[in-house]
Amino acid sequence: MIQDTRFWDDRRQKIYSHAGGWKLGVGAYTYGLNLLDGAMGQYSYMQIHMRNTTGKSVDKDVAAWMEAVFICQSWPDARIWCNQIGALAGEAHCSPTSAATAGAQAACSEAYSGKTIIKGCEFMEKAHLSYQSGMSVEDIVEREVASKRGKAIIMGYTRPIAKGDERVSELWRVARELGFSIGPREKLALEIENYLAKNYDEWMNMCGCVASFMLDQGFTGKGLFNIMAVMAYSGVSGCYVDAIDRPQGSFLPLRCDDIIYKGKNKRPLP
Amino acid sequence: MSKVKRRDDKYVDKSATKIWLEEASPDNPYLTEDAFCHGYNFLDLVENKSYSDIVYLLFKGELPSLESSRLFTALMVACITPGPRSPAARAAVLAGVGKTDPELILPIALNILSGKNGGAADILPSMRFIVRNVKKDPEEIIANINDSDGATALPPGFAQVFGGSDPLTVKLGESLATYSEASQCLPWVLAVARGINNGGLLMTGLFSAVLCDLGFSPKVGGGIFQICNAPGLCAHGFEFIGQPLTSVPFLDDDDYFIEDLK
Repeated sequence: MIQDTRFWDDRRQKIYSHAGGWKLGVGAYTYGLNLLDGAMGQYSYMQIHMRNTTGKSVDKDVAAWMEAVFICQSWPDARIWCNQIGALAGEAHCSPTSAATAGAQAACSEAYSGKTIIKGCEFMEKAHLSYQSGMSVEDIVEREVASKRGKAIIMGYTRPIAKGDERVSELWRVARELGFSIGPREKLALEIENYLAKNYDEWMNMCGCVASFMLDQGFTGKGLFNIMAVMAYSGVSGCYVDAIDRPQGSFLPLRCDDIIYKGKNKRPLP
Repeated sequence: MSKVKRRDDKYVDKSATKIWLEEASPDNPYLTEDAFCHGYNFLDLVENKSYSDIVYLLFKGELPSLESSRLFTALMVACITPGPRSPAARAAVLAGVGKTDPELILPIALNILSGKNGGAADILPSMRFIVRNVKKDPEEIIANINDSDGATALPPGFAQVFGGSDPLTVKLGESLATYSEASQCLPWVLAVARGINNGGLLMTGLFSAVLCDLGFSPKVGGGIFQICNAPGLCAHGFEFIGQPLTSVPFLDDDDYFIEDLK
C-alpha cells in the first residue's frame, strides 16, 4: 500500500522556525526581535539567552536575577562532579570547548544542578495549589515526607554535601535590590523552609529559591531547564584552565592501588 | 540565612571496581604491569578473544557462550550505523564539514544519539517494557493497543517512522531471530510489531529485545547501543573532513521560513 508522505514531502529542503534566523542583509531575528537593529547595547546577553530559550520577552531585572543564579553555579571548585570533569579535561589537554560542554552535560543531573529545577518546580507548583486550596504548610511537608518513607527529601530543600545553602540569602538579597516584592510561591517556599528547619534540620537550596521565584515571574520548570541547560560551564572552565597549565599527572594522580578491585579472582580463559 | 554545615555522609577514600584490576609495576606504583578484566588476564583476552566478546564481558562480567557471541556480534554489526539520514549521523556530518576538531565528531554524534526518539534514551524503557511483558501473549498487548483507538500510547521501541515501518529494521530483526539465543524476546517483539495498527518496530526496540535475550541489564542497554552505533557515526562525520562547506546543503532564504515574523 502506498503510504501518504505529504507531511514530510512538504518539509523537504525547507526549514520552518518559530525561533528566528538570519535574513541576509535584512536582519537576524529571535522571536521577532531584530538583533541587528539597535538591540545590542539595549538588551543584556541574559535577556537574549532567555528569549531564545523560552520565546518570551524578558524584563531586564528578571534577566539580571537569572544572571545572579548563573554566578551561583560558577564556582571553580574541582571537587564538584561536573567541575572535576573540567579539571580532568585539562589534565588530558582537551580543548576548552570539550571541557566546558562535558562538564555542562555532567551537570544535567538529578542529584544537583540541571534536572533538579524540573522537580523543584513540580513540587513548588503542587505545594502552591495545595496551599491555595487550604492545606497547611505542615500537611504539605508531611505529605512529601510520607511519600519518601519518612525522609525529608524534598527537591528544593535538600542538597548533597551540605545542609543549608549560602546562595539562597544572596539571591533573595539581589531580588529585593532589584525591586522584586515577595510573590506567593516565594512566600510559601519560605514558610516550608521554616517548617523543615524546625522539624527536620533541612533548609532551602538554590533550586527551591529559583523555582519559587521564577514561577512567580511566570516561568515554567521546562523553560527554566532550557535557560539553565549549560549553566555550570563557567566553573567547569575555571577548573579546566587551572589544570591544563600544571605538569602532566598533577590533578589527583592515582596509583594502581588507589582503585580497589572487588571483582572476580584471577582465572584462565575457558 | 540558613546555617550551612557539612552533612556527616561518609565518603570512601578510594573508589572500587568489579571490572578491572591493574597490578602495579614493581618499580613504580603508578604504572601498570598487568591488567585483568573480570579476572581474565587482559593480554590473554587481546590475543584470543574478539572485540565483541570483550564488550560483552565488560558489561556482563562473563564471556559469552559461542551462541551468545554469534548473536551479540551480529547485533553489533546490525547497529553499526543509524544511517546517514539519522539526526546523529547528520550531526557528525555537520561537524565534519564544519571543520570541527575531528576528535569531537564522535562525541557530538553520540550526544545526539542520546535522545528518546530512536536514541539511547529509548533503550532503558524499551528493555523494561519487554522484561515486564514478555511472558504475556503478544495478542494481549496488541489488542490492548489496537482496541484503545490511540488512547494507549505505543510502548517504547515501537513507532512509525515517516508514516510507516522501516522494512530494513524488520528484515534485520527477522535475520537476528534466526540465531538460537534470540529465542524469546526478539520473536515476541516482532510479533507485537506485526500486530499493532499504525505501529512499527524501531531499531531501539529490536536492539532492546536482543539485549534482553542475551540477559543484559536494562540499565546498561543505552550505553551499549551508543557503542554499537559509534563506528558508523564516526565514519559518516569523518567522510566530510576536508570537504568544502558547499558539500552539504545550506538553504536559501526563500526556503527558510521564520514563522510569526511581522
